[in-house]
Amino acid sequence: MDVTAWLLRRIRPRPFVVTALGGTGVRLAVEDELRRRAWQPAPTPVAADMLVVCGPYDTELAQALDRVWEQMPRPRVRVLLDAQDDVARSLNEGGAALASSTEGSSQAPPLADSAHPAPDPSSSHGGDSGRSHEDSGAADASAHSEEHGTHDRSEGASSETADDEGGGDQHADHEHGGHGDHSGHDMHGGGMEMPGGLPMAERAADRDGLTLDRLHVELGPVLADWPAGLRLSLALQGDVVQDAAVSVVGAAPTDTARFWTAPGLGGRELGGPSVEAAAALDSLQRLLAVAGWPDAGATGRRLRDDLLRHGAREAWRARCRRWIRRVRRSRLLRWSTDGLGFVAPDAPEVLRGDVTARWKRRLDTIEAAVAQESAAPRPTDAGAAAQSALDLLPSLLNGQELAAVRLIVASLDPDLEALPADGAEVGHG
Amino acid sequence: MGDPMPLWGMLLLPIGLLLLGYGGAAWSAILTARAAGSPVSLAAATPARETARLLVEQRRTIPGADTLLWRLGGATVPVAAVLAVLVLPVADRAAADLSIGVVWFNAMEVLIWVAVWTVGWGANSAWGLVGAYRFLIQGLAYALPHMFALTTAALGAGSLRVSDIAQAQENLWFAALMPVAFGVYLLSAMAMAYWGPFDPAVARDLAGGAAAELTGVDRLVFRSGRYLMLTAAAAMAVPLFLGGGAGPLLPGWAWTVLKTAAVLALLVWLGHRLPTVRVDRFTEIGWVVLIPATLLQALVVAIVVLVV
Repeated sequence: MDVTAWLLRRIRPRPFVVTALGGTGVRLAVEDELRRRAWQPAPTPVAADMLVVCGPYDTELAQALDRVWEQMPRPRVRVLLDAQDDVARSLNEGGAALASSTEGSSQAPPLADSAHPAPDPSSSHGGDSGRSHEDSGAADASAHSEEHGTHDRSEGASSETADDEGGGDQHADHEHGGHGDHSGHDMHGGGMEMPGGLPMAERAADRDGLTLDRLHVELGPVLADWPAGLRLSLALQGDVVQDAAVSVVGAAPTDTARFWTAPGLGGRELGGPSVEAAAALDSLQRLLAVAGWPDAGATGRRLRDDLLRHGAREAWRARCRRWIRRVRRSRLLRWSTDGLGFVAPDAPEVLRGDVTARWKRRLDTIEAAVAQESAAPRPTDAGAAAQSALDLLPSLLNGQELAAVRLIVASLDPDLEALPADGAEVGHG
Repeated sequence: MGDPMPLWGMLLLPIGLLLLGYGGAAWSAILTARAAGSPVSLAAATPARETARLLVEQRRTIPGADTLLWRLGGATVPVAAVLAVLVLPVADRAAADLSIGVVWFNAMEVLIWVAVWTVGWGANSAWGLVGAYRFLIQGLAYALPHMFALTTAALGAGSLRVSDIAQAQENLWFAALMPVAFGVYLLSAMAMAYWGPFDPAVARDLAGGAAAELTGVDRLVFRSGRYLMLTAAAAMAVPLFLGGGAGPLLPGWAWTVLKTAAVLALLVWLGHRLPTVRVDRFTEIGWVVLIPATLLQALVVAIVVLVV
């Protein structure tokens, strides 16, 4: 085990950052801190060893988080952050817990494991590190897994569908639960041997009149580069969406207003155009990451952080201009986004046009801040825009394939923190 | 031609590939750090730290997974990369200078199709399956132009033996004689390593696609295999288009390494510079533009060979 301990001390954690509704401010602080430490955020919980949860969360999100936590390989650690927490200190503690996690290998494994020993003998070598960190609010994640009875859908990035589970070693649990309307209780039930005791996919006619497998996949609320609090329930055939429904997970506490319109933005003195530009940068960096251009996205994040910290200085403006030029001139990006998700001109202005039109509009907003134009920013009602984006999403997504789905969602990028407090209406298509 | 490669040379080949591959991964990490504004000094060690992290990480098991195919698929990637460079002449000697070396290289690199497909399919995951499908579609788009590019190089030398092709460029590099074929080769080199603009099979929007469920040592093998494959493709560009080990002052092997490193650095940089191309859009370009372009290039080269 000495080698393991030696290696553990040398690892650089890979955090998977989850944002709850109302956690935007914390997320920005976390991303800023990660960048300075050169901790590369993981694109999926499976590739991560640190689960960082930003902001307040409710039971629904907590359940999703538990499922995601189960899917993370060991060694792993959980860092729960709220607005008043010291981000740097919490990340330090998380990293330290990770580096010393072999010391806990003699401890009893989490509940789910003791009830259902992991079938893979090699899985023991990671040692137990399921210590949760700053975890007083949420009980031990693994303890919940017995209760996850009837679900045939996944929450979060790792997929888990009617015939498909993308979880970790605790999957033995799910076999006891029954899977919704399927009779998949028995390992070898129904006279036919099911793979892993899981039910097969249901079937339905596709757009060409063929009968094809139909999978239910949920995107969000725990997904990288995804609007906080959005959940998308998709029925897929292959990678083509047959049916889409949206819902909002969690509700921002009423005392925290929408982050981007909060007065003073955390005590910082910024003018209106700069805040709009920072919000646009934040939105664009998500789109660029989804479009498979993580470097441009990372630069966008850095520009956003610098703008929020120091305001629109001369050096920032020069760098920002270069970045805007590069993104705007990218033919490949336009080629990928042209003609996708067209929204008619009767919608709020920020949503109109195709994906390309929307990201170009965001670039314009940033450009206005760079040029320090005194033209008053067009008043956009973020709440109304978010609500109509939610209403539009199902019809926009039907018949699209997954890559287009991610691009369309990232381009609309509904800011659900801005939704009116009386609860969002959800659309279905 | 020449003597066969001595045994120590055979041992050095995978080690050299690994070192260059690490260099590619480190260069990639440096580019990432530079774009994000993270300290660049930390970046060179990033692949090593990531390796340490993956070595101690738990391997996962998934119900309903075809574990054998899943893990075998991941292991196929680095093996295919090492097998592909067996025909690479280093200092006028290849580990196996086959008379059909170009075909061998092409066959080994097509193993990646099998590898990515089984990795994606074996995990019993929707993301993995969609990623695997994406790679097959991408394969249909890049494979034919890639083969025509290889054929054009062989045509220029009148031989399928890789060392013959390198020798035929004594006067003029094929990169200059057949620029379209060289360009297409570089594109398909990125595509076969699902790198940069051609990474939709393992893309972020699919939570890692074919590699979505890999953890621990399985992820390590798959990811390092990808860098080895990119390095192997860069290395093969040297005898095929860049004059092999020919060059002033330095010995042949040094030129091969230098040219490989340069091509690899270019491919990694391009991968960071460009966004992902959606497979449906790339397929259109592959069939409507690249195939006719490479065919025309082959025709031009054939006429040049006949006339000159």
